[in-house]
Amino acid sequence: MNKKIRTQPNCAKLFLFLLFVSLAVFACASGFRVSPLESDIQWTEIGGDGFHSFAREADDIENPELLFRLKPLSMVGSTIVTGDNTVFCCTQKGYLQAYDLTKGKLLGKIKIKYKMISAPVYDNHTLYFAAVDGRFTINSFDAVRGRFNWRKNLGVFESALTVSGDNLFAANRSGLVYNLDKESGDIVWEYQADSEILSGTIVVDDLVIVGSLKGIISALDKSTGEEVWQYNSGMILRATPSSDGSRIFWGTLDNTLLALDARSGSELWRFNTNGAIYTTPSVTKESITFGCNDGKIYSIDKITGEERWRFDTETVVNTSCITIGSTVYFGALNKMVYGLDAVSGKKIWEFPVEGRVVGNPAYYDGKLIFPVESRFLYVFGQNKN
Amino acid sequence: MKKYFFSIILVLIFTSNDALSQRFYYGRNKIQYTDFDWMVLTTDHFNIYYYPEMKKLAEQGAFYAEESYKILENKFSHTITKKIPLIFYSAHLFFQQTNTTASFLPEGIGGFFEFFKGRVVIPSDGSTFRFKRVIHHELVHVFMHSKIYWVQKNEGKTRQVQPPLWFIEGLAELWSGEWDTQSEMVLVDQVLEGTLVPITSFGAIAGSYLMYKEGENFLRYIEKTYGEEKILMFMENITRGKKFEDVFKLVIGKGYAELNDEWVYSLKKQYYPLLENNEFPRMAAEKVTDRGLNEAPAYHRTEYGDFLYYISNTTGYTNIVKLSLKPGGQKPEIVIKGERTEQYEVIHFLSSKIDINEDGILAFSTKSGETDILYLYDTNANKLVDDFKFPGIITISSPSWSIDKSAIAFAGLNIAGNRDIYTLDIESGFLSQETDDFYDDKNPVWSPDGGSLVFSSSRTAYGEQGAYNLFVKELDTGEIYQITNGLHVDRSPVWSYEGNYLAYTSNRNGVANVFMTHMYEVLPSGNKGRTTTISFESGLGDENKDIGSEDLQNAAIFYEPGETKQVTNFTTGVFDPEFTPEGGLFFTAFERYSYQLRYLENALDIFEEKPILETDEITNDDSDWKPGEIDIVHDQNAGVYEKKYSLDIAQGQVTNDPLFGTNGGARFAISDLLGNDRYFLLLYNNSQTKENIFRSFNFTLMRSLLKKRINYNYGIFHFSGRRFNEADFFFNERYYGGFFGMSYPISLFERFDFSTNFGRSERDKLLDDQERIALLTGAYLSYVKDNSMWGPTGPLDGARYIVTLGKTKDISYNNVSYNTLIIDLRKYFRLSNSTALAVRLMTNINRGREAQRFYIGGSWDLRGYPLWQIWGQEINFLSVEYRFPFIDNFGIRFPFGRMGFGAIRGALFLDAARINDSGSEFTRLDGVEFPRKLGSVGIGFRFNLAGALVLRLDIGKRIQNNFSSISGKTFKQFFFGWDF
Repeated sequence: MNKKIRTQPNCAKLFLFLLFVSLAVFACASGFRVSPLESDIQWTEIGGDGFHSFAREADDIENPELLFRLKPLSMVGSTIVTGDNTVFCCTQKGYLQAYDLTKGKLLGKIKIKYKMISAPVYDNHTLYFAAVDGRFTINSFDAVRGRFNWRKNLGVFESALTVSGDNLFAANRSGLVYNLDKESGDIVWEYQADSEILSGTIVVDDLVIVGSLKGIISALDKSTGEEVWQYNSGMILRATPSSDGSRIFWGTLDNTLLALDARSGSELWRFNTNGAIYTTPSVTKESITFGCNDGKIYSIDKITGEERWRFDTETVVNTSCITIGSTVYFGALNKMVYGLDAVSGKKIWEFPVEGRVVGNPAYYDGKLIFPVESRFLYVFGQNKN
Repeated sequence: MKKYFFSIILVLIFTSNDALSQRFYYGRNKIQYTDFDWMVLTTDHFNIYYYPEMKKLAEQGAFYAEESYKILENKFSHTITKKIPLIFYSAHLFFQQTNTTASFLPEGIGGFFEFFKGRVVIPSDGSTFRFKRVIHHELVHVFMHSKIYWVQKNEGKTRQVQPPLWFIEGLAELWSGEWDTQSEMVLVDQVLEGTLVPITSFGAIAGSYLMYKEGENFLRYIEKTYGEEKILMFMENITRGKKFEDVFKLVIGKGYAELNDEWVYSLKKQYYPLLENNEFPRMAAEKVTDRGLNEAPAYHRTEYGDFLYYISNTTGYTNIVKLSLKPGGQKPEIVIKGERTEQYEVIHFLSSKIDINEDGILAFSTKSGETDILYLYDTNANKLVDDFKFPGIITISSPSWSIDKSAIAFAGLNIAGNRDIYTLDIESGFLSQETDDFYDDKNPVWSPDGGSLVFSSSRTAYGEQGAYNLFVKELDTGEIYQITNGLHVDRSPVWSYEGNYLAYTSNRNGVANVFMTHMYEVLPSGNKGRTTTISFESGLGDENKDIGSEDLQNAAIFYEPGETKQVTNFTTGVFDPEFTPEGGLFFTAFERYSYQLRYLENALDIFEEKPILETDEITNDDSDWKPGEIDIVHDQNAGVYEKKYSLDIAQGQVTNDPLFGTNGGARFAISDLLGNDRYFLLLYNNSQTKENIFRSFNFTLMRSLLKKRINYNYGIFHFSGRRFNEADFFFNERYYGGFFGMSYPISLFERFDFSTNFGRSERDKLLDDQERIALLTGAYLSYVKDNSMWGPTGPLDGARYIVTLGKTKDISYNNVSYNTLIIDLRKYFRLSNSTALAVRLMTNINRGREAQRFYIGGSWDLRGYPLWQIWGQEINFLSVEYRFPFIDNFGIRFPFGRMGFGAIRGALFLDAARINDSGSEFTRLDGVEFPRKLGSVGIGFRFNLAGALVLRLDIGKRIQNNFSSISGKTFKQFFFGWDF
């Protein structure tokens, strides 16, 4: 009679199984998920909306107080974006992190390993972000389900992404402008600019407008990628532009702010400063406000280009201002954040922070967020208690 | 350098009973002649350290620093969050005394940024423009360092690629001012001579002025061709490459080789056309010198012939030499030997002329101790006849004899940092200050009538932009008026012998060339008379002197400039013109990256043929520019300097020795901001068991005070561990106590060192139960001299001496008592430019109870014997070595690239030693008998590796049997270290 010989438990198989389970758990544990909220904000990107306006017609934050400090793993390299009560930031060391804005807690992180300095987009609970290197330089991440939709390698991206309708627009270091299908990541069209592009694209109506480092501003048909108009500014473009829907406002490294007609590309006016402009202007109904390397915040009539007021910080301002209600907020390299009256330019609030303010601010539901070089995100708001 | 070595050697000598530390250190002395009362001026972004005498200059510097800060903050898009320490000196001679760096600071160093403590140290030289530019240059370093550090730190990549030195200095030059004619001169010379160093080989010229200028020009090209923003992008993307060239490829899309091709091509296109209308100096003028560096000619006619006196450096030392102008290839003769004694400690090269009157009295200035001294030297009698030192005047430059030889004019820089013109009456010694303001005045020369001085000054309307024009001061009336005008540099005026023409150099049309202006004397009546004829043909008697009527003699003569013409059209710069009676012109020319003397025989004839240039528009308005001043209330923002210490070194180390086991330790050093007060802590543990861990802690804590001329060191120590010597074999010793030392520098070259120590020594021999306790005191006095001049692998000229007398005694138990004599004399006889005979005589004697042994052997002294394996209480040593060049340079070309190597030098040597000792059990067991006579003879090769290390290979034979025979075996000894 053959006895069934009981074999020893297969330790190797047990080990592999446990390893698989651990990996699965670990894999699920990385990344993050957000809770989708009903919101009238369709999407957010640099400046908070499709025109990069860095402005909100919201209630003033009276006497903003520090609600909490968030601590990303390394310095925030790109503009932060907010959506669904979450702030998303990309860091210099290659992490994409999400924080809950109600509790100030980390929701999770994704390790990309490569520096990210390009401003991401949060659209319809999907996060689009880019990196300067690596296997996948442009990514689509479903923030609700906590997983990637698609990932591609399309070159080095240092400029802000933008979304319009079903399309994602991105321009890379080699001067290639892509129109990608948001859902699939497929290339709809691509356009080669004359030189590298470090400033973000902007979509105004049916035009996608890009500016190369050598100063050529091109407006492309959103659907076909065909050139509609071109303007040679003769200046170095690094800042991302903003718009009010009919005009484009663009800061240059040649100390000049340009205003162009979005439809025709003709120059409307230009405003000269004494310093390079790295910032995206904040656009309201009457004016545009921007910071400059000469240490000043300028408020300009957006129709005439006449100066309304200026405020001297006596240091460099190379991050954008944000206008919330009737107050303009900004941070400077002197480790201070300020609030100015949007009409008079008078200082009405200031707060010392622990490092130079090196990232553009963001706003969400009464909260103002500043990235600071010492790796903190300062969240200000009205203390409801 | 010397400071640290002095401190460390003290620690080693007096804390180690075995005196292994008797390896002596020479070195020159950095002397703090001046006791500064340091103050601090605080501005928005700076803490400025200065002394009260230069308060005004400090405020001007503060203004320029804040102005630069604003500009650079914008350019770098970055800010510095801490206040930057700026340390100002009003004269370079004061700057040379700074303790913020241990290095010597030759005259070519205009300032530096020390990134460890973030200090910027800057001297003024009298020029506001240059002061401002240097401040800006150094602040570019500060910003760049901060920006790159910030970029790297934020990405966690602080150990990544660093920018190369050519980029660091090139950027500082690029962003601190415009491309000037001096820079242009260097590049034109390099391109036209075909010696431009490509960017791929910038390492070969690292640290040189050429690297600064080529680096700057290359970055200008990048800026112009690819955009200014690219420069900042190099720094912002510095973490994205494994080497700096990768960053270039990322930002511009091209590597070094391709960019170099473009850059060189653009320079050739720019400079080759210059040859159509311009000449090389050596092609259009007669060569007077062609070796070394030569400048500042002074012409002298005697009954024995014509001579040229000038400043020359062909051997490594700067001297004043005399050259006979007789045809036939005469060799120059040294008249004044510079850089060997305190008297002529430094002869200023490229910053001061010399002059000689018709009696042959040479006037020149040198640094001698704390300040410059003006010397008068009789070239006929070959002796010094007089010397002058002036209180409050720190540097003296460009002395100029009056026609009647009764006075000398010179430019003097005072303690406040202002350079003005002075006149000295030789007989009475009375000094008059002819100008007294913040403008920079220099190169004075007497007018033919002796009533005025012509000088170069920044008091022109363009002075704030760095221009210098020529002015005349009437000595009787004190009136100053302008004779050239424009945004250019006119300098070194000199009158022709007839007094009709004024020659000078000017860069108004590009690089500096010789210009001449026909000068008219306007008589008091207002008539423009013919020019006064003054003959200066020395030795021909007074009958040829015609200085006009008595009325003319006494009247103030106004000199009006007439036609101005450009006399030379050289591709590179010329300086310091000097007339001959026949109208010829000697001058210094820059070419082939050196300074040589040239002669134009018919300069006045050339003048006649040249076209007249547009006359400068002279308005004679008072220049209304003033240096900027910081808008602060000084007293509220200034205070007395208070010491704040910060870390200099923190280093840990673990060693493992098969005999002595594992040791671990650390060393720390802190100092105050000015580097005058330092603390060192050395700490390590060599315990073998855990029970001994506390007893085995070894430390030294020492303080060094360097602010004044006499430097002091004192401290405490505790050493414990296993030791070995030939008398006691292995023993444990615990030795603890204190020490004190001082160093008095007599001059740059000589000093006295004194040190004393006291301590308790508990020695426990391992082979027997004997314990030896001693309360030791020691006192040592040394005289050190060093004026050696170094070649690539060791000294080639000068001498180095040490003589030390000492006594060590056990004052409690009398177990130890010995006297010490150490003499180490090294003399270098220069045979030619690159060969020398080096001789070393050394006597080391320790005599008495428990006298310590000296050690010899190895590549550094007695070659052919193992390192430090020959020992004795008395060692007499002689070494003679002939040093010569072997291979100048060589390279190896691989398929993937080329490697270049520097010079290999050779040496033929003979070493001989006599060693004596009272003997010990060890030696008796070993069979060694004293006295011993040992020697070696052979050939050696030396290779300097990157300027930091010299590799040595010696091959030879031992001399044995008390010098009676040579060993049949050949030894080969490979080691490192400089020649003795």
